[in-house]
Amino acid sequence: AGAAWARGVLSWARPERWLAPGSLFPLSCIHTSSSTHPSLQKQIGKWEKKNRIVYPPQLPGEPRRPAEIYHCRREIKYSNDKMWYLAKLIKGMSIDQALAQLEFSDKKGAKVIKEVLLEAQEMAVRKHNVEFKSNLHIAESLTGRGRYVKRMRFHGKGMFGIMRISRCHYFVKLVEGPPPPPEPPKTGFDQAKEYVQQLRNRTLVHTL
Amino acid sequence: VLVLLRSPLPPLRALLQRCWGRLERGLWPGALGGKNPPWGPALAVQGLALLPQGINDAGESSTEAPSLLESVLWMAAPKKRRTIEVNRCRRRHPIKLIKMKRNIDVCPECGNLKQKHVLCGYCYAKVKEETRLIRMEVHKKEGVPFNAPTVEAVVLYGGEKPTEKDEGKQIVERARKRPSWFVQN
Repeated sequence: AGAAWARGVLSWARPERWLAPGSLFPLSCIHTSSSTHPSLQKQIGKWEKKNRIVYPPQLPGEPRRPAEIYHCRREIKYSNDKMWYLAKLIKGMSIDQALAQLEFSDKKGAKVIKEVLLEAQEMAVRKHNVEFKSNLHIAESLTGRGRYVKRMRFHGKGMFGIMRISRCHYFVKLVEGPPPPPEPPKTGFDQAKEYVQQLRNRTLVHTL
Repeated sequence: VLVLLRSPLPPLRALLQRCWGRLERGLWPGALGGKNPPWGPALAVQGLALLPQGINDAGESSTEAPSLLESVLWMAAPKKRRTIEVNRCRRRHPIKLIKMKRNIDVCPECGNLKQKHVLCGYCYAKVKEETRLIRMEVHKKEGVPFNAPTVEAVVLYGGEKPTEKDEGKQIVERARKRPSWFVQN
């Protein structure tokens, strides 16, 4: 009986029932979050917001714009410098090749990056209208530093050191289509040609 | 007076070096508790004011090799801070980058990736799991530890019957269909 009474009170106390259906302003949803202070709210990073851009529809003659998928993982318990080597390895590869390389890498960050890539691949197929999950390549892969904390490391003879626990973020951008062909290395002939062109471009300045 | 120090900090080390230098050169009269006036030059001939001990000490200090404490403070240290450009050149040198592996293939059995010189991880895990279940059956049959019979074992699946070849062997039965990769003799 007490529970029923409490439920009755709560049902009476529901705010949306106070407003009549034909009221001037619509039923507002009451925020359940305890604070509205911007620093205390969960910050959505810039990389996550990149997935929200919507382009205007393409005209019939335009070439098809390849789909772009942005994904990231924050505060990975790994060093930024060490993660950079893995990010540099998979830059510009197709997603299958990248997954193969990461699977047989001995680094701790390789497992994390593999999970991120699989998540991004699944997101691409489900939400971003990508037809073939293998038809993706990694356009950009970056790392950023996360929040560091300082901790004590106790040595012998009462000595101590201050060590820092480092974390990192990992960002990846997948683009539909085969990976772009690698740039051919710059030959001496090309460099010479550029130099001659620079000499030919010289003109007189501040003259008539 | 030998003072043992535990890893003094650089400014402290420099200070100690200067103090020791001053002591050696006799420019710190009040250090050893009242040896006023300071000791005279080592090669002075008119040494009437000097004590015989003073001559010995001064002579020793100029001709003797640098003491252990002095040589310990002469250690290799970086002269200048390495700039981020120099650091980047070292950290991003091709020899330090992770090399791409070219020995990855597809396993013909299950289709997962495998390295050429290593067994396929998926197939190995499959076989390992089945072996674990067979061993559990064997333990159930034996009951007590250290009860293994000294004969060969034959694994039979499903409704298979032992042939005349498996006469004296220990028979282990598994209640499932024979897996395709476990070939029967």
